[in-house]
Amino acid sequence: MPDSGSGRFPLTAAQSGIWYAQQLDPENPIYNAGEYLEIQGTADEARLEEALRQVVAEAQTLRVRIVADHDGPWQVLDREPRWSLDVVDVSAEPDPRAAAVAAMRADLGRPVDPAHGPLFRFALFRVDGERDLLYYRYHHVVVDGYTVAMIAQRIGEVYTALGDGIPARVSPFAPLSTLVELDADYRASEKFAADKEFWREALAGAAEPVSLAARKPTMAHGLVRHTEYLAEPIADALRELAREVGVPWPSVLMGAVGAYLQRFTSAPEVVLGLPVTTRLGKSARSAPGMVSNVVPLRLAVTPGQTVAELLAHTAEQLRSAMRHQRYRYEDLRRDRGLLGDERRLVGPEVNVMMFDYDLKFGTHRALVHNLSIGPSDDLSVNVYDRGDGRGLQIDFDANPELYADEEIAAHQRRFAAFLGNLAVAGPRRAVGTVEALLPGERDQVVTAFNDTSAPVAADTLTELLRRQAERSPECTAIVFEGSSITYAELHARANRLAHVLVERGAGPERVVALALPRSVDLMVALLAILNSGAAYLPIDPDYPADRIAFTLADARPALLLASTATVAVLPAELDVDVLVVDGPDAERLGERPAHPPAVMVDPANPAYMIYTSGSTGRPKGVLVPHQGIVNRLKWMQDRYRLTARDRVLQKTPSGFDVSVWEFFWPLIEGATLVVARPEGHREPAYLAELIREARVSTLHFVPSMLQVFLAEPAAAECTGLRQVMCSGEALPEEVVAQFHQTLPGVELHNLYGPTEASVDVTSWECADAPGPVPIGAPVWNTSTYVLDAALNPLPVGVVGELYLAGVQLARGYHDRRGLTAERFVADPLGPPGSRMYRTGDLARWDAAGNLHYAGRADHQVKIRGLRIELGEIETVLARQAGVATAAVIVREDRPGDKRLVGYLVPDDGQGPDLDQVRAALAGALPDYMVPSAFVVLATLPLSANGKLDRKALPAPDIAATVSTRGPRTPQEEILAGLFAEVLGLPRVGVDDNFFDLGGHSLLATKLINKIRSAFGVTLTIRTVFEAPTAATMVGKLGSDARASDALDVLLPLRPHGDRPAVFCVHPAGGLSWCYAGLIKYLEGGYPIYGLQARGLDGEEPLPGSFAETAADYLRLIREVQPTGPYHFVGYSSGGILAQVMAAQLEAAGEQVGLVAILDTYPGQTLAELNEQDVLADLLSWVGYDRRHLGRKPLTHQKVTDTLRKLGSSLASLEQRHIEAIGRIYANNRNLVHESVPSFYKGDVVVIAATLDKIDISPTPETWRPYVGGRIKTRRVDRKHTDLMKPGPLAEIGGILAEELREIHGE
Amino acid sequence: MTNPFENAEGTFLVLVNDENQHSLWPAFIDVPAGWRTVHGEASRDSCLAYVEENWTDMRPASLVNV
Repeated sequence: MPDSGSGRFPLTAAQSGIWYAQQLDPENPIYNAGEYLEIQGTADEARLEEALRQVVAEAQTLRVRIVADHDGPWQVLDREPRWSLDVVDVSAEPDPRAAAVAAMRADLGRPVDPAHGPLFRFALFRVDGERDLLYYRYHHVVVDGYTVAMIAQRIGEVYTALGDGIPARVSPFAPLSTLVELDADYRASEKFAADKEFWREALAGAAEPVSLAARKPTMAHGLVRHTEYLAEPIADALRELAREVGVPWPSVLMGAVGAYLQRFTSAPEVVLGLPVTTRLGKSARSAPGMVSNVVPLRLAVTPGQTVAELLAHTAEQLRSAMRHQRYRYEDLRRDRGLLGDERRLVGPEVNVMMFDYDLKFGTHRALVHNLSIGPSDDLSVNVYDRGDGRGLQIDFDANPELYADEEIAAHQRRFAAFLGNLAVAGPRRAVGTVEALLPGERDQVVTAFNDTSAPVAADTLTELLRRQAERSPECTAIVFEGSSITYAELHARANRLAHVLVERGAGPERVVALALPRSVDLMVALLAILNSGAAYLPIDPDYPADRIAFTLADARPALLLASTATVAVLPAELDVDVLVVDGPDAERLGERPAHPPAVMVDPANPAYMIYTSGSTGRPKGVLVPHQGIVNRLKWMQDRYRLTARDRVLQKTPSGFDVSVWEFFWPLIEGATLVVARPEGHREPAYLAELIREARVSTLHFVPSMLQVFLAEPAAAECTGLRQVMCSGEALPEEVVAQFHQTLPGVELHNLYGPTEASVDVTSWECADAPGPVPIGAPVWNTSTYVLDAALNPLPVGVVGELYLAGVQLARGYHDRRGLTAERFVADPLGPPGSRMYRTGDLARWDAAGNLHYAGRADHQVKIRGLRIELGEIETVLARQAGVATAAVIVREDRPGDKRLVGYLVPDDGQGPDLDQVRAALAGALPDYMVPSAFVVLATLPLSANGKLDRKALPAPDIAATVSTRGPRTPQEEILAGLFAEVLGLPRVGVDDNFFDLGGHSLLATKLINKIRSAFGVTLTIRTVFEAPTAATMVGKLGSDARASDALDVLLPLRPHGDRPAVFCVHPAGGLSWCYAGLIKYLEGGYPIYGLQARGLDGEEPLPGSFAETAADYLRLIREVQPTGPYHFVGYSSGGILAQVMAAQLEAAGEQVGLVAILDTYPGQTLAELNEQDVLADLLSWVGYDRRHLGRKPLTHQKVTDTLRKLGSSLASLEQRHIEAIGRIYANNRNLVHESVPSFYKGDVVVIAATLDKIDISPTPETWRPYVGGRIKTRRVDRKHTDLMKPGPLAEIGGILAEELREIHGE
Repeated sequence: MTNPFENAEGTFLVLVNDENQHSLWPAFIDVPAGWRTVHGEASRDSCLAYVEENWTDMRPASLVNV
């Protein structure tokens, strides 16, 4: 009997998941499940409706609505929901079937509220008289896929029975309560606990599952579906494969999806989502409702395992997952700590549907067509095997938020092809070697994108240089520090030296080291080494002695070229023959011939050797042959075309291979090389000046330095530039935009390449348009491959590891055979016997054949373009006394600010002394490899699989290492503030070392820029190294800025600048330190002085009138600035005084510029101020609310302690100063009340604070009787008493800057 | 990202080309044309030890034989 009961039940756990998701997103139609049955004949409308009504009566779940009250959601069973069968005749439509499906999709696109039944809809579409389409749509909260099939079958059964005139068998459906009870029983059972434990173990150590999408999963609002059909013979071959290996057939499809996913992610394991029915018993299988689930299918797929191994493993994992399928997805997410997290629990879902409905509607067969099967967060692969000899239907349902339509179509086609290849591969083939690309794709990425063949004659760099010197002997080869040298002179000097080198053992296949700063001598030495036939090896004399000694011992050079300056800093005990190029050896050079020594150099002989960081703690020397660098330079000339008029800047240190093209490209093309002074490469202002004055047309920047350079105001004046090359690290889109804005019309090129492949192997011209910045396409005679973990090429859009092949490959690593054989490996895609270099970089192709950089595959990092193997630093760190184990990572806790941080676990003894550790590392590693902070940990955090969990390493608490001594003067305070700003710290003590707090050369450059705009002083990087604390650096700002002067009458806040100074007149208390807050906002050209009351630092008599005070101040002012115009700013009584001084200057025939009166008016009275008020005022100036210190009277100690904590220089005021301020204030108060203002004929600007003004308050017009010129009002929405606080001062600074610009006609 | 050359548990070969250049090679991938196997299948360490011992002159053979 049909059940027509009513009642209410709790939701099953599965229903709850869907109901909550729908509540979060009520307008989302994704929970509509829909299909249509293609009935192979005409259905009887009345009989169909009768059948449907019977089934609705039988299947309780269809009569359910979900309502929520204070106890949560319930499912309410209705006795007789109102519904009708819609019959739609579309046979008149041009494409009836398409019209019907479109109508169904439109219906599926409408959100359904689970609170309002019915949660189903039936419609019959009459298509062509030969077939009817029965459409049904249910809300997923009441049905799962199993239920949909069960109901469809029952509809057919009842319809058929009605036609035969016999009653259908009794309802096969169990009531809804069955599922609810089974669900509750399970969750209370031991099996539930056992399943939980099973999954905990099964997922232990699993990394976040990979996906084919680059983006994180989001709630789907729709589906992109692509359908492919796999022909029956292929399906049969796959079934045969399953039989041969002895696994159930679905394992083949799931293993294939796993292998495909592994191929396109190169992940060590994949986790698929496995949809399951959870209907384990007979009663569960007979109850319509929603209980389906998704569980993880964790597969260790490796490209080296055989097909048989993969399938056996998949079958085993599938079996155990199925045994624990009732444990819910939502519970797993919670157990794994993923709630409220974007991380995935599973990757793509794979659903293999083997059941065939075998539907009959009377005498007509019916075929099922699924339209929507519920949400897919990411991707669902649905395979339908109807076992009817028509092959397999494979649907890819993807979340359109994550995948472009064509992307999913390509995966779909490729996966179908992969299944075909798998079918013929057989069980013993390695999975990774089964082709997964479509035929055209391999050709595209291997051949078409690498079509780089270009004729380059077999030449050596030496020959190219010599031939150019013959072509342009009298042209200028090099410009350095104001002097220049011709090609003929350069080569003559180099040849003379080359003869000496040959005599002392240099020649082909030998190495000659050189430790020389940038200079003409360096260029002579480089050419001399090449002319001797040897390869040059640059040594940075600033590197630690150990590192230099290691390099020389490893490279065994024939000799070392040094200068008298560098030989002095090189380690004393070097086991190498040293030639000092400007020493006594050099004096006999004149006797040598000016022609090159007779040496035969082969293009395969090395031209240079450059050391790079090595992961096992030993740097390695890369040997680059002539043929590689010749190809690179010839390509560069073809691509960027230097002429004799071009000037190329040489600023890259010789230890980095970018310097190679800087050195030699101009000299083989007849252009001029402009050599920057040593250290000059870090000074943006110097570089801008050099570029302008030396008419540089071409230069290179590492992107982070380019960013610093562009921040330099003078950069925009480098209009003579033609092209700028970038390489060394990722070039951010913002920097490209900034570049085009600053230097319109100048070309910007992004280049990429490791030292192991002759500098650069790809290039890209950055357009002046937004968009990603690729590293571009390969250079001449070079192939670039993006490969998977079995060295198969990957198609466009898929990230893989980047390999390089072609003529530019280095010979290998000097004396490191194993390492060379690991990195320079056989090339399976190139000519027979050729090699490729494994970069460790990740990249992907775009459709235009340009590569996009996508990070590193290993732990090599780059900081400011410098290549660092973290393992090398870790090795040195772990060697230090007291250190048990160590780890080093790069942190980017502030965007764009990459820093190395070392983590130490102390041994059982006393543990490490961090100062000693820092010193030891500085002695063993180049400065850019010394971590800027160290953190001591009890243990290193490990992930579940026992590896170092780098993400769990804590950020160093740099703020905690800040010292306590506060600034003593306003300058120190500003400086310490700039330190803190640049370092990203809340505050910095005046004795803190900039570099100890994480400063590095790039940040130092930023600091220098800020100091220049605040103080008008241009420091060099060297100054920052020499005076790395605010207390010491203040001495570099000019001799006037000493601490003892802080209470002088004329206080030099910023004594530098080429414009008329701004004089800031103290308020009634006498101190003008408060004006220091202005200097950041006034352009660097204006010197800024404070005027302070006499008597602050002693017992000087206080003045008797403002006229007297003004005359006194003007005497001092005219000592620092003898002529006008004079600018004045004054707050409180300072405003009155400013006007008096302006009047006196005017009377003396001097020129006055700005007179800015900060909210002060004639005829005002000042409040009385006791010592408590003075102390409160000091706090107020730094923006601190006195009330934070409680109601008790303020003490001097309390106030200075607070000020010190806030980093204010006011903390240095002593008790006697406070008393003096009280006396001075009282005196000024009297003067304000007694004085009769002067008359000033010029203009004044009154900055009026508006927030505390009322109707009867004075206005700027109050000044009218005393001002002859214009009274300009500028309003700030502040209170008078707040004007000296940091925020208002910034606003006032902006106003003053505008007024000054107006006065100066800018 | 896994790399077939970095698999410490994997099985490898040592390949040599006509220039006497040596290459580590994952055993499961077909040997590319122009290379011949001189060692393995063997462990990664064994292959690297073979290279260290036998690749005594790292200059390309064509340069040595001139």
